[in-house]
Amino acid sequence: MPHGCAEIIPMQQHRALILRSNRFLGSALVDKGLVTTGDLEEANGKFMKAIQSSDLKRASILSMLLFDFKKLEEAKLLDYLVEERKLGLVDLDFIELQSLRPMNIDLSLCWASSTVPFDHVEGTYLLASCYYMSAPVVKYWEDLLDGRVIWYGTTIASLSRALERIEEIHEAEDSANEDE
Amino acid sequence: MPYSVLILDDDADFNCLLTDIFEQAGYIVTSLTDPIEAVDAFRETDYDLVVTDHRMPNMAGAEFLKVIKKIKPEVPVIMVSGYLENDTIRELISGGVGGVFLKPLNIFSLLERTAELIDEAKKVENAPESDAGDIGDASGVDAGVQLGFVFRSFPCKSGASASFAKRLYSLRNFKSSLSLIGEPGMHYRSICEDIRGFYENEAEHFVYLSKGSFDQEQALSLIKVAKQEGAERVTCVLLELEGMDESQKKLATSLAKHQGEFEELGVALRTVFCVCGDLDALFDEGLIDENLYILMGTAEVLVPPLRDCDIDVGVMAQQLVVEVAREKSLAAVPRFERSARDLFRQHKWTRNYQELRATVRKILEDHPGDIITHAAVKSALKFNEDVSLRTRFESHLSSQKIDYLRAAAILLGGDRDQTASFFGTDVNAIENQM
Amino acid sequence: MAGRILVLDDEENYAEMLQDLLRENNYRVDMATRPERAIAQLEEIPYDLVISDYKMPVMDGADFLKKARELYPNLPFILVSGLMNTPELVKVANMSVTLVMEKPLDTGVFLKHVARFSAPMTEEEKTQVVQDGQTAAAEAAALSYPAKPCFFSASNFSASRFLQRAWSIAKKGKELFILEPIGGDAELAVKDISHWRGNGDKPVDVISLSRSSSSDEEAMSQLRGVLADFEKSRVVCVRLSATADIARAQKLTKTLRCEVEASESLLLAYIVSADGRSAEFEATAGDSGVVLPPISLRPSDLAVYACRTARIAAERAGRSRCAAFTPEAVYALLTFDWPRNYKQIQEVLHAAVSASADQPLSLEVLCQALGKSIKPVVPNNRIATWMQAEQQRYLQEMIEQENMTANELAKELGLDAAFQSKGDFKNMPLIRDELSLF
Repeated sequence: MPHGCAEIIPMQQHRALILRSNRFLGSALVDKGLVTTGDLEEANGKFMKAIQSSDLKRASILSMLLFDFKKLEEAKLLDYLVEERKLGLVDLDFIELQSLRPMNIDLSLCWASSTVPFDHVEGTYLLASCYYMSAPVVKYWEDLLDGRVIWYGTTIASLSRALERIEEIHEAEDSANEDE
Repeated sequence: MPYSVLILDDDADFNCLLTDIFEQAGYIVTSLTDPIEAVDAFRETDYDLVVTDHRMPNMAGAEFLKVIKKIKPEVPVIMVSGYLENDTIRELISGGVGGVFLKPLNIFSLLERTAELIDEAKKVENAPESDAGDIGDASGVDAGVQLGFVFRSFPCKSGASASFAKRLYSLRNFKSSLSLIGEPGMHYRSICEDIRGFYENEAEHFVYLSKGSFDQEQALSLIKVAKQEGAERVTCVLLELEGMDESQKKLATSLAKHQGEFEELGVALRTVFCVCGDLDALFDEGLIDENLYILMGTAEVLVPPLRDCDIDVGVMAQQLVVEVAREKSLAAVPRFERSARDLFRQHKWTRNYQELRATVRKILEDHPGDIITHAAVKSALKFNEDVSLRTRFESHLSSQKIDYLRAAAILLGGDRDQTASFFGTDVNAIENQM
Repeated sequence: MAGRILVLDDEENYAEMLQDLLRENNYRVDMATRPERAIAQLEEIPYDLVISDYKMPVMDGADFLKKARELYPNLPFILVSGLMNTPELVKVANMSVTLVMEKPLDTGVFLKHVARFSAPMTEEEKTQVVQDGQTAAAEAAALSYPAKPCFFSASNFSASRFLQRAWSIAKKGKELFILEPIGGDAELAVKDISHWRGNGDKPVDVISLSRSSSSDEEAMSQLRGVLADFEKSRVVCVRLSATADIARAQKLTKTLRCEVEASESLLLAYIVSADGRSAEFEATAGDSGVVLPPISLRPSDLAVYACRTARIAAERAGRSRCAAFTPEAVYALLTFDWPRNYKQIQEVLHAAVSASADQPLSLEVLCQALGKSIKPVVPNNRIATWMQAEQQRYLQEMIEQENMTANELAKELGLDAAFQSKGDFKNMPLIRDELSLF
């Protein structure tokens, strides 16, 4: 099955979360002076188009600010997270990723919130996210995982690659099951 | 920021003159003719400045100065008089007078000196070690700091309101939209008037549209009119957004995005959204759609609820009293007893400014007089709270019960024993109830 | 209980001096400067003692005494005058004046005599009145009318609220609209308002604006007449036949204000007597309107008026014991619903006193005068019966005012049982038990 198709329908269920998490992220970025209101306004315009065209995977205000409009440098953002928020960083390229199914987590949620659990130790989950600054994202995951969460920051690129790798893991599982 | 001035002069005409001068200069004035009363008022209420005459029957100005300096030495005092002997002037200076003005008055100098004195006094208050009683609030922020711009909708003596004002000021040059998010009863219009006041430019026009008046035709015509009047930028303020219907909300979105009829109007166009309620909650309830949600989420400013600005509430209440006094052409502006004003500051104000305004008006309606007492405020606030039908019902029944008791007592010639046996009970029970 | 003293002297200063002197000695005193006005006051309020001057214009002391005696045959009367000659003294002696004192007064002796006829207020009453005057001054600074009303009774909270509101409209305005139930005591309130507005004891004229179209001119000329007479109060009562007349009344006020000299002191108190809902009245009269609650909702005021009237009637009939009530009669008075309010109280009590022997008014006499029999109730149940009735009435009113169904109201009040109709409220127990207990 082509990549895009499999994820669109499940992602619709996260539409509200996408809207909310992006709004809060935008707000937070402006609040901390990382982007200006004008920048955000521009990016929002494009964001709304993405949302309404059901191109939900593309609906990320962060991506737009970083890549489409180049109003923010990822390095600056990560610096901020480390300095001000004391957040650890992780490069997911070097992590051995596992299937999410045992954890009962929906991959589309990960795409929607730019967050992925990458390890699980004695009941505590380790999460890598690009959206740590968005309060709804943090709250959603902490509610879902019963609060036993440690957060890490990561880059968008590294996250996307990680999610794609997990998709492949899932596909492999599915094939294996079919074979049986 | 309106400051309050206490004027004392036994000469009624001159008193009026001084009152006019200060009121027109934007001060809130309390004027009295009796020094003893003035001392009480000074003790009860916080003033930013006192202006007094010297020649008064019960107490000379110099003595009055001494008395009030003992109570609140930080409040500046100006002496205005017909003639003063040099020795008296010396006495006044050593007594701590802030200014001496002899008649005929130079109004300009008087007001200038007033502003200077108040400025100095405020600076002293804001010095880190100062402990100026009322100033400062729970968040520990240095309130009452000079804002550097005019702001009337909140006196900004509280940290929360001062931050709000500063945030608004910093965002004043927003290009396309701004959202004011607050609780029910917020005075958005005044707040927007303050924003308008941030610009010195005459070409900034604000247009107000609310639930009852917002449609394409109206909006366009108001914008056109503004343009004709020389506006270079028109800011449309949308009030009560959450109460508008679907078509109005769509219109609001087009307006904010300069789409449809709002494209190319030949004048810079901005929108201010005023809503009551949290954006997320409104979105969840379906009262605003995605577009508005994101649009409004971009530049969102939370208006502080009155209960977070308790120091301001006192000042705002007095301002409302002045407003009512003007409307009714009262001879004197009523003032609050200190304990009455404290009640105001502690109250929850769930409907914020609207509730404050209605309460002040109700108090002045029900209890006219020069002094607004603790009891008056208490009963008005209680009345606000007891709005539930059940509470009204129960309290009515209780008070009628007591009235029946009184009625029986009256008809039985005031005899407590007879009254007690009338109800089949004993005298103590009756006494307790009455 | 302390009685009241009426002082009459055409020289205002002297009357005031006497009034102050007596008040300092803890007496409740009212003052009049014209005999006719004193008579008017005597008709409304039972006084213990009258102190009057002898030489006065219009009606001299002797004539006044005669008229007053017609009202109160046993009323103690002290005449205070300048030197009287023998014939004059003889004249008054034959009219059974109680005492003559000549000016200048020896205050000590004077006060001794006064004490014989009128009880000063006890400490308790004084603190009551002072408290009343202080809760009335605290209330009156809170309640904000200048003094305790002489005529109108504002003991019940709804009445004092009414009076406050009426005063706040009247003290600065030119017109006041009052909606009163039929037979109400609004005129008494207007009298007090006239007093507070500085008209002293000058009588308040009452004219009617009838429905016929020609009457506007008629009313105008009557009003002009009243206003031209400096012996009359500048507060005038105008009775309107219906709320619909309010617009005409407002026009009348406007015209009058333009015409009349010194119109600032003018106040037109328009009274509409009607039963039923006040919504239309409130909408039409707006900020200048105030609604007077029916007397049955003001038990303590009902009591005050009943006492006053009984006393006056008893004095006139020479049956002083009739100024009191038996407990069963008290119960009946406070249970009856008085559809014609204040006027009915006066009619009934006068009738009852006439029909009674010289003893406290009994249940039988009262019921006969009321034309209705009221079942007595044992003492323990009295307050419960009243509260039950009041609860039911209030709930009915709420349903009408808030435009709800009985069920909705029950929910809103947090009541458990299901209420289908207004009738169900009858059986509803009191919402709080304490209401029927002490």
